[in-house]
Amino acid sequence: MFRKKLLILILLGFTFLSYSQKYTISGHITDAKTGEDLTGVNIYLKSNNQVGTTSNYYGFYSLQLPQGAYELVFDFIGYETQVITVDLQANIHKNIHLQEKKEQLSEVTITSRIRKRNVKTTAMGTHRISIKEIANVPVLLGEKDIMKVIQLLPGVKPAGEGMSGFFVRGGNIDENLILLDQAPVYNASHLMGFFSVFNSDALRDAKLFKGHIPARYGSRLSSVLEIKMKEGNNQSFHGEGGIGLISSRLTLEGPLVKDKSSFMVSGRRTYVDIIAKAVTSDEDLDNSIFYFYDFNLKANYRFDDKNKLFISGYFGRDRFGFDEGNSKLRFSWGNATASVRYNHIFNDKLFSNTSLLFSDYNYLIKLEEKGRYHFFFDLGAKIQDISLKNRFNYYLNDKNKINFGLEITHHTLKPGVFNSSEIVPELGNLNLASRYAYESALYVSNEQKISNRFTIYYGLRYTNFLHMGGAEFRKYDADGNVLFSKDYKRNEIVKAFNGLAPRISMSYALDNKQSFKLAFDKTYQFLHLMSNSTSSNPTDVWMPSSLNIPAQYSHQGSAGYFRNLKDGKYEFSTEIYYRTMKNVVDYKVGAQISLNPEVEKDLIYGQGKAYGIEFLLRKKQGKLNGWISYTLSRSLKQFDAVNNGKWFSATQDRIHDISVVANYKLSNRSELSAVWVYYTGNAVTFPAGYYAINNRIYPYYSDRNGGRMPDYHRLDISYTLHNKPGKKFRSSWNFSVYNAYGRLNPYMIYFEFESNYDNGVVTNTKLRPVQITLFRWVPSITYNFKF
Amino acid sequence: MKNIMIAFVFIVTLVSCEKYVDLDLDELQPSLVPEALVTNDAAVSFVKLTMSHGFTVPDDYYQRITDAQVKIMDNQGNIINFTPDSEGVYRTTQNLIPGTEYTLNITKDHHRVTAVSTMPEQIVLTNFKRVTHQSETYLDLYFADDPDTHNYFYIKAYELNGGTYYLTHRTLINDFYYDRQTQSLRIDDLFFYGSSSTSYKIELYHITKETYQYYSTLNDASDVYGGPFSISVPGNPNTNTSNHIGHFATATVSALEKTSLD
Repeated sequence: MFRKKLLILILLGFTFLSYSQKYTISGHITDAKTGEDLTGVNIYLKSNNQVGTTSNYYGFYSLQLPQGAYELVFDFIGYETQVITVDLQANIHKNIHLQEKKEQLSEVTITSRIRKRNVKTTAMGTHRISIKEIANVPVLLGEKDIMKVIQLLPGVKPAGEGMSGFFVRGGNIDENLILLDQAPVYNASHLMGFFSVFNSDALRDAKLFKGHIPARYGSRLSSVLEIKMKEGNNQSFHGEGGIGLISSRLTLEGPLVKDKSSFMVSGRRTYVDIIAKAVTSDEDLDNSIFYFYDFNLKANYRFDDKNKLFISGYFGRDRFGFDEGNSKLRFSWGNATASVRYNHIFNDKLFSNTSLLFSDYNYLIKLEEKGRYHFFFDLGAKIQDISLKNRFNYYLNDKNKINFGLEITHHTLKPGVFNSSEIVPELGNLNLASRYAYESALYVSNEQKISNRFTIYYGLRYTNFLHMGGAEFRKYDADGNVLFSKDYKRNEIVKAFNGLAPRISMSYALDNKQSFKLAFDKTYQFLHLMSNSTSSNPTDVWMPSSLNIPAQYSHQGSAGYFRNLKDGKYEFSTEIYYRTMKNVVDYKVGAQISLNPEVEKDLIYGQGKAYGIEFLLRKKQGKLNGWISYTLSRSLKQFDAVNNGKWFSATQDRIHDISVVANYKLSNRSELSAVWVYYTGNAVTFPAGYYAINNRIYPYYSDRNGGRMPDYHRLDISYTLHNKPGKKFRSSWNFSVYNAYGRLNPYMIYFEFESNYDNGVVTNTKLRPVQITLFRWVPSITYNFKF
Repeated sequence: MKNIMIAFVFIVTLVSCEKYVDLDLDELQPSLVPEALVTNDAAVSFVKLTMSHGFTVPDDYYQRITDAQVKIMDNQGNIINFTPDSEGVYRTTQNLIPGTEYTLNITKDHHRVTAVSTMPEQIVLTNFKRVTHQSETYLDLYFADDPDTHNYFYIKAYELNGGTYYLTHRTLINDFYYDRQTQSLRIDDLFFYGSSSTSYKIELYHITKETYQYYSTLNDASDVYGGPFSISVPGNPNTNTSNHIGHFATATVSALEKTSLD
């Protein structure tokens, strides 16, 4: 029924087509200084700003207009607005080069959709983040991190103190699709989650879709974070870098062939281990290693105005290890991604991008012990994707922008790869079967301008997921008993899943300053993270939907009010949402998750719901700028096997969440920035008492997530001083304090028996909660430079 | 660079601290906690009873309950009474029968607990060997194990010291993680640090899957904090008692004693 209605809507939409003589102006929009493509540039008629379009991900734009002469405005925040005059007597191809504004320091460059268009577009729950903004926001240990800035947006919550993982609108951390130049990143964390894998110097911008997710994206329930690497300056050679307390970084970029081709290469390495060894005489440190590094590489080649090739990659790794007596441990983990993308413009209306993508996350633990036996083992796991995606943008006319495409991904999941010395052959059983799957999708969408006030987006995404054979798979009942077992051949389908996901949003502009928006989305997820933790752990393992694990799916409805104030200096938005999530995965009590060949029988499946209201007030210009966001929300789960089937708070059920971000320009050379965050403590399971078994004491737990951590709040401050710029060299010092007023925020709480003694005799003992605080008054200093 | 090092040391001294906090917590009402193991050998069968507590720990928190009525009934309706010995442990003189379903009944004042368990068949411990390597001592155990079924074991190892056997090791074994193709399961991870004893006694308990899961999750699930790196989901282990606390285990036991080992 729904599909029928959608079809009617599409047909009705095309009745709005005008048959008068029209021509198209199209081309690429680039940064005049660097030659990089500019995404999301507003293009509109000077005489009527209701008529216009935006540049796509690759900077391509196409606008169809009736025959005639026009003044066309190209407007992009952070850049000088450019107005061109065109006489449309035929189709025109026109590339635009925008000049960056010289005064950047006072301008916060985060924007949902810029200026007046933010009230007109159908996009809801969408935030675009320019990397320039990250430089000013104070962060832990001065390591600027796009993932930390995202957590300051409404509806987005950090996974924990200092963590780069995040929750979006009540979803788990594995429900966020993180893309780096279109390639998925499965574990976006370094150092147990305290730093993200994204070196900000190598990035251009990021876009978070948390409410309305366009039909071109799938695979995750809650959000899509699309991160774009810098393309590299195709005009001249430049570099930038920084020296911080825990790491240093260097980025170089320049033309390979001027105007046609450029490269960017960026590297980063931590040196906590080197410094720690230098300043202490601890022998344990001498025998240990702990550091991470990463590299970003990108190159592009513009064959002509219609053909462009991009090649980019990321490689990063954490290494940890120590030697102690006869034991030697080495533990490493990391991601590798590669993207090859080819843009082709068929004509002034049809743009395509073909991508070949590779992503790999793996970890490896090597332990060697020379005791009774010369014992050693290698233990690892990995997830690897190879994808082919073809996307098309068809600018049918000035009222209809059609996107369609198809994609296929081959997933390889190795949940446990184990090799051990021959002397312990019994451990060979822990070599877990690899899983293979194909995930393919077909989608089409149209953004249709019904009138100057009313715009509607409608899209449909069909996904097919095939869990393939190659091993013996078992089907279990709810009690974990084997219902049947079968040895599937490598190319035999073990289980097939299909999903049809409609994506609809609409915007009604009350006037030029305010609009109402509505959105409805359905999303599917076929890969599931096996983890008890709320942070990203190196040993996290992904599992595909299978004979036992159903596909997760989510419905989300949202409504919003958007308003610009004081001629666009202030931007206000509020969004209300309600989500349901089906087949949410959790674990039986005491389930062993890693290295368990029968982990699927320890899983339980339930449902979730999340609802809330978000407010965002942003000041974009002036000496003082920044934003305030507030989210009032709930996130609940229900499993038949937990809490007697009652709904309970999800870990991320933080009812109140406030972020205040402020930047103040003190002078032309100095700025002061501050961040204040407050949120309700996590829902956790605490003991309600204790009992003794076998002369040992054990806690007796109350309901799952029946307790609350204390509320969290923190103020971070940073001061940036720009040195006098040289002819080519510019530098600055950044001083910051994380948790400036020293709030003892809970990182974790455990329980221990506190005893009082009298002459060695226990007089009084109580079971008491002990709070661990990780970071209090953490100062940092970073030196940044550019040439 | 020197300044950076000083700053780093400064950071390390500032981060991470621990303190007791007061939280608004639900408190558990006192409840009977049975810890029962009944076997085909009455000498090693027992039922221990204690009470659970809230957050305040009384002096006698290990105090055993000795005034309860404890009995076990088989699926034929036969009743076996357990009576407390001098240490407050309920015992019987009757050996129970493998393959039989037993129901535990405990009554004390207004507290009443029931639990059901079926005793597994016996698996015989055929041999064990003492192995030394440098200063380390290990015991290798051998027993017949059907490769076509999953079996679970609880092993208690005693060392003779001064004329008395002392319990020095207890371990749970899931044979899924061992090579059962030889039908002789070798457990070689009983490690006796600095042991000089030459006499050992081993008790091999063939336990139920439920008992294995109860005891193996008891420790895992006691990961009591709310931080991001929780090892497992905190929760009470699944058990067969009607008040969801404590456990009633049935097992068959096979014991072997060796003295004057090299």
